Amino acid sequence: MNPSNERGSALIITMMLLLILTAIGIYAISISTTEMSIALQSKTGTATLNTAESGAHYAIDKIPTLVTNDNETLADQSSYSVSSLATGGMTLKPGFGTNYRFADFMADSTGTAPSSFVGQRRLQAVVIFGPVPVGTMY
Amino acid sequence: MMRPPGNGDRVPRRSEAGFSLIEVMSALVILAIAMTAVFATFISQQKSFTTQSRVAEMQQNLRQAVEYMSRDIRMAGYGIPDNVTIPNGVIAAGVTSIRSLYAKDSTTGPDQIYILYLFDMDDNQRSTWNTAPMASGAGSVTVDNTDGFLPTTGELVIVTDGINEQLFQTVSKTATALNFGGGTYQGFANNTYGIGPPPSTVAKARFVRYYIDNTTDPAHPTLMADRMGGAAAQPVADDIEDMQLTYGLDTNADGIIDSWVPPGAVTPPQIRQVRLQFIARARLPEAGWSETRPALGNRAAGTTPDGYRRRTYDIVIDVRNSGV
Repeated sequence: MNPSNERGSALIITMMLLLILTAIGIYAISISTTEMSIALQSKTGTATLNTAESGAHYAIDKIPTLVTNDNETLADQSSYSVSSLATGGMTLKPGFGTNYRFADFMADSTGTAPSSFVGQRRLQAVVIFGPVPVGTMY
Repeated sequence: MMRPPGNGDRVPRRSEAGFSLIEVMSALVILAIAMTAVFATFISQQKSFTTQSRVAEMQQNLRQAVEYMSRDIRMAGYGIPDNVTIPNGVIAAGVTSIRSLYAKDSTTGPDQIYILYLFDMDDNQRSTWNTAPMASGAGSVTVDNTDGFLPTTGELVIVTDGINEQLFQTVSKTATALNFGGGTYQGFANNTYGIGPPPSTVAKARFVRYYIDNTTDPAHPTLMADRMGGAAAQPVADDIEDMQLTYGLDTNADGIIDSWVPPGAVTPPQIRQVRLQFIARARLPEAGWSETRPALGNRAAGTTPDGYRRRTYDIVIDVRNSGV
């Protein structure tokens, strides 16, 4: 009978099981942290997209007045920067006489994530504004 | 002098040393108890690990489905000035045009949606413009360049001057011409095309149908995207059990949604928002888990419980280009 031998095998079995359980545990936790990180990114992305969109709507609302790098920080600390320009195109639409055109504008809005997060979404909106008399933009 | 060995003078040797029956039995009992505890722990850990992996996989499928579809729904109708004529029966019998999107409702199964928009966002697949009016019956259009178009495959192409528009399918291209005809959209190839003084936009059309395929593999209903050009549909996300769509209508043109209706015959410009709902389920049923598919949209809940874990997703998407 060799007592030291028995203690050793128990130790080895225990260690192996602990090792397997720990490996499973670590992998499971890594799945959780990955999910958390994905959720965070997705939240940031949505917030940033909505911010960019609000900037675009602001600029669309202002048309035919143009805005240049108009910045706004929203309540959740996300911010947008928006510029608009007249692209020069004048679209004719059915149902309107030849004295009237629709002027093409473009609003270009960039949303930036709230300060503690990282992310940007850019949104370009083509706006056809009118009808306007030929030769003017408004 | 030797004498026969007696009982009293036996010399113990190492090789004879051993366990008594009692020792062996008690060791076995203790080992059994210890191993039961160890394996119970191991199995429960293993089970929760499997569950967690499958739930993570299911959530990823769901995110995939939502990301793909919400991008397309947001863009629906972009660059399209008016209703686009399509062959009767491509969407449904009697439907001959699409403006931005067209959803097909079902109260007993998943809904489907068709989305059309002009695709000119990508530098690699860039749009071009025509250099001469398209002759009636010519079946081709001369353009500035055809870099952004595939050489042979039947791609859907929209030609529009901002007032009118027409949908074509290519069969071939040269450096400065796109030839139409063939495929499902052959009927359009030789249509009278009186519009399109240069420069009219000539761009790829994204005409896509999202539906759930639950017949190919009934155990794994899959969200599919069909690009409508005659090519095979592609899977977008696995194990999406249900998809329901609801239109947010602005019926009095004041910019505010005033009614939520299931897809049906509506005026396309009134569709200002689309509510998209999904049910995703785990890849495999789980022993000891019982759940019934919940009701979603205008589809009633399931009746028989099964072992699938499920997640639902509910998102409202602005249709930016509904043609107001």
